[in-house]
Amino acid sequence: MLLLTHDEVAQLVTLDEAVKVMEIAYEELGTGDGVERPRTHTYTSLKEPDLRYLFKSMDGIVPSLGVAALRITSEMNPFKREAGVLRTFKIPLRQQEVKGDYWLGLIFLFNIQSGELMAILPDGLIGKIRMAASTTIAAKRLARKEASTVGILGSSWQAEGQIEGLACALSLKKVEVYSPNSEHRKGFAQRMSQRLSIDIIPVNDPVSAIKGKDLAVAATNAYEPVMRGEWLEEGVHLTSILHREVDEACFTRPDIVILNHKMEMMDYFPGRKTYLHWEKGMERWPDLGELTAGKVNGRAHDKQITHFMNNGGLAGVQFATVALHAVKRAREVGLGRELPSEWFLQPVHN
Amino acid sequence: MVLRLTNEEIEELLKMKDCIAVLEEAYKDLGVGRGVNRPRSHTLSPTSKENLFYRFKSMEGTLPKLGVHALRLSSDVITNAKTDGNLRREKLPTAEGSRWLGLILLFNMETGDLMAVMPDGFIQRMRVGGTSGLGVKYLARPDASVVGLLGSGWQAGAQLEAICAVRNVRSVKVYSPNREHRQRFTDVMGEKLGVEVRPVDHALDAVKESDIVACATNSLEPVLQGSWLQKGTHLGAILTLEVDKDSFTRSDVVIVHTKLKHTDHFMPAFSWDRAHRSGGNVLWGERPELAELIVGKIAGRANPEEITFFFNNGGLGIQFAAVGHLVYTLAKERGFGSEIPAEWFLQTVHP
Repeated sequence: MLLLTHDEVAQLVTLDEAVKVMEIAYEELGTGDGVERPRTHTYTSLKEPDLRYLFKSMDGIVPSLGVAALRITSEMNPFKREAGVLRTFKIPLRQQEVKGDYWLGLIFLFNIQSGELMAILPDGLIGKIRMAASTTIAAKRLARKEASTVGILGSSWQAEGQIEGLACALSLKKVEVYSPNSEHRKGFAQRMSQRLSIDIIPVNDPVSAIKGKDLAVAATNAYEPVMRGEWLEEGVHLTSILHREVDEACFTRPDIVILNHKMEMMDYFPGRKTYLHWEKGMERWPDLGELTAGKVNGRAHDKQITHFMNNGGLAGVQFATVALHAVKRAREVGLGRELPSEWFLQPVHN
Repeated sequence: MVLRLTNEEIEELLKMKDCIAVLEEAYKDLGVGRGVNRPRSHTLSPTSKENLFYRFKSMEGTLPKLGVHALRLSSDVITNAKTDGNLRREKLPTAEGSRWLGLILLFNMETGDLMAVMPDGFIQRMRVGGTSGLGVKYLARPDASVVGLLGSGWQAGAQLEAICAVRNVRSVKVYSPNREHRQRFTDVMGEKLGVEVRPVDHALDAVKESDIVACATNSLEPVLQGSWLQKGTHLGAILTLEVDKDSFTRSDVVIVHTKLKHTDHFMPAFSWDRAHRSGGNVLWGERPELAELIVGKIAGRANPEEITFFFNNGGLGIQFAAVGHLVYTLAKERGFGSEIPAEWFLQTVHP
């Protein structure tokens, strides 16, 4: 049983490689061979108002690669109103034991031929890479080949991943970024222009960020629509992450809408309250698995408006493929810590 | 530090009386809307071998009063095999050293930390037994003292232990189709529990004149007929198929473990239209549940004449949260288990 750290994973996986292995997973989902258990969120209130405990879990199987993955996160989940919009934030665990700010998100990789646990990996880097890789896979099939300008709403790590994903598929020349916090958007512009060697400019209103660009991105923490379909012009390719951050016109104006996946996701709360993450009518759009497997067509001509909603719930198979890649590479180069397999096995069954 | 425990350590720490006590508190929380359960899911696919399937099972529960969230998972290779002429699902010990993989991960919901990793084997038995014990505690006659047991496997042992923890049991009659099994069970359990346990040759002999009847078989066909039940009996069962329809209709009070009826099964070529949901049997689908009984939202036995039936269907994440937390607390008190550095499971970036 191999245990990897965040720094080790960072040495083992690149976005290019993740795109390659994830294309296999999507194709397998498209043909119906792959399996995904949609994510669930389990919430409980804590003593502090505006703070909840959140446990996420999801799993999936890629039969051709012989692996299954469970991904979990154990999170402090604050939510508050900022710039007039209800938002959620990521804060570190409140643990005392290890000095510093830490988060807990893990991928458990299983061998489906034996049931054994093969590896445990932190999910942070792979979580980001797989979101970027889905965006790449979609952009290769939906964006205009010569698309080079981007307008993006959002400046978090998700936004970083989206720009990286687009840059992996296309030759980007210029990016304009808007987020309500001017410090955040400046920081994003600085970080990302250095990392990708692209001109990235912070702007102070969302409309000018989006208008006239070849590519539009919504990667925000907003619980309400911040991207407007009326801003989308001919030939643009829009990438979004959450249904709640884009308005209805973002679905009705485009000629092609592709979802990352078509699965209902469920939130669980005390007192048996549940919340289904599914907007009525979403099932009418095909998903990236179908697009990758060639069951539906991508962009046909330069005038089309396309929208890829990278709704993140489809994670089990993404984590399974990328984690397997990291583990194979780790074995090749001798990275990671071996733990006794018997720690996770028992001589009885239930 | 993350605490790692073995089944042997858990067996030494976890006693049925304590297990029942923490489960009772958990159902009280659930009954007033304080606990959360994420229902069980199965994710299945073929393996490279014909007739072998992979199944990933998981469920979760949070208990705010204890400040814990539990994830229970198992990673199994299964096959459908015919044994004794019956089609049975078998979990194969395909992992290293002919072992299985079933784990409980316990999280601190106040801090987000991983507290413990433990195997689910022993706790699984105890939480099923303990929950049936609560059914007996709240539904059986207070003076119930004669027990009829159908089944002689490990779950039958846990059932009996739980009954003895909540009632003053004088004598126990055990039936199972295999004479050797029931004799061995009789010897072991009689000594362990210090009560008179004797084997009987027919299921009816075990049921007749018993105050409490408990089914703990692996049968996919009814082994108990409701018509055998006498006035005043309390019946406990775990599997839908081991009791007949009359067991439900003849009982004056029927309580189920949970109304969370469904297990979602995710398989290749899955679509929600064709989602396979198991459970939701019409016989027990709309019955009140244990948590409601325990908090007094619904009434239990009204008089000594009534037949009561607790159907211990399904598993809930909060059972693993409650019992896992108890085991963790006892292990900490008594210095059991080994420790794994917490930073092995932490990262400096957020998910």
